[in-house]
Amino acid sequence: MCHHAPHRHPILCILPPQILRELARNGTAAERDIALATLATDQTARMTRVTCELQESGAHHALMPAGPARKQRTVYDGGAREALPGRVVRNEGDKATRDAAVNEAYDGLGATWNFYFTAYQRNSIDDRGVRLDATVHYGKRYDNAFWNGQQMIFGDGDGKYFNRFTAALDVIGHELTHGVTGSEARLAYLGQPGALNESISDIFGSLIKQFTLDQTADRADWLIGVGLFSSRVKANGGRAAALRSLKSPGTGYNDPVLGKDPQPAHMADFVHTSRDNGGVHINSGIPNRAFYLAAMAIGGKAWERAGRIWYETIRDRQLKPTAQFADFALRTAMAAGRLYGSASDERTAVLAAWRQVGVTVPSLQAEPHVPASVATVGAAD
Amino acid sequence: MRIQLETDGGFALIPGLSRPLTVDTKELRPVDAAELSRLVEDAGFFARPTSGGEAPAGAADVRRFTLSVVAGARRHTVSFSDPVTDPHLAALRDFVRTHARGG
Repeated sequence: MCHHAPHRHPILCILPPQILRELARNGTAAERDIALATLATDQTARMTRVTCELQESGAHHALMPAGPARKQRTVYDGGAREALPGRVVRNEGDKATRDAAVNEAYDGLGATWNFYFTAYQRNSIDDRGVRLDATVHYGKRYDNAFWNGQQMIFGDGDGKYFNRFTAALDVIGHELTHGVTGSEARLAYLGQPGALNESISDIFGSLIKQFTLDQTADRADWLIGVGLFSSRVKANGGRAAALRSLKSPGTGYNDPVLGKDPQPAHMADFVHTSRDNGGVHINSGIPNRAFYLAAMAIGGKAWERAGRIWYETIRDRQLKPTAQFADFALRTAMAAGRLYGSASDERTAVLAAWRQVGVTVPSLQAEPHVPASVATVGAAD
Repeated sequence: MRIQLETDGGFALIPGLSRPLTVDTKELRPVDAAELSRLVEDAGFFARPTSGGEAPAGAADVRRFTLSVVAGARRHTVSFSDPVTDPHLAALRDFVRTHARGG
């Protein structure tokens, strides 16, 4: 947010800087003091304006000094009420408590901070060192976790179908990544941009788990929310149920009571609905699988190259809040080209991944930063 | 009197948990029917605006609740989002969850 400059002298503030400098040199003692103070403030005001313009352009990340890079975590106990934030139960550096939900939230916040800082040199979710807050034990038998734009909130689950929502590290990473998206791409939480917003949270939630476990892409389970469902909830093949699968969208759970995971894996099965903000948690399966395919084709640790490409895409100021899947796909291809070269295996993998899920990458010919030869690949289907 | 609760949004769309829940006073014990009538009265439900609160800007995975009440010729609907800070709306939502068939 841009702040207004502090108070300046009401007359001197309208004078051009050269007049102020003359007054500072040749005016009376009182005039000199006021002129010097106004010049100094004016510099601050100019810097503030410059900062605002840079923030609009996205260049502030490169030019503005970041705050000190250190974790600042606070976990609150909601006491089964729906009031926020609740009572402070663990601050940064405090010893573990006897409450598993508190410790899971604290550790999950820490793992997420470590991931973004180590993998992408990002200083907390806003890249400015913002503190990380979470409330656990929110509401009674509350079976949800959400991001309210400022902090994370976790329920204890209903005890019937859901366990406590701090149980899965990727869910904690998912919620905090909404904060990252909110400070970068600001994708609208509706329809395709909303599904991209959700997909980004699932992808980085999974990467945070893979990073913490030091897993390569081929060793990861690519599941979101293992451990959240109670043991009574069923999945195909007798394996543990999960909320979603990036590898095989639509196979997270298949239960007589809860029904079947409704996620599509391909644009041919895109779900048109007014529910769920236009299916943000449903159609996210499509970009989720595109990332999985790209990460598997690129190989190695998924956060290092595939994750870097997606991370640079959400920081791309040309990515609009209303971006559709194809717009996002184009930006991932461009990011891959910038990072690894237009003829790189990484870029080829990204384009192939989107093609496999039925998302046609628009022609790249109009984009000045990517060689025209790429358009042939992008237009292949 | 009949009251229906629809829940939308949240961290995932779970088909089996997304069905509307309905409670009809005709199917309740008299003591529960009286409690529901009192909760609707205490909430001033029929005089409320149709939107009882939107999710904060930048929020994600929040739930949206829609309560609809039909009482004789009167009918009204109120929608509200997490975090639910209004105790009257929270009480009505929780009553339906507790007393709805299959809920």
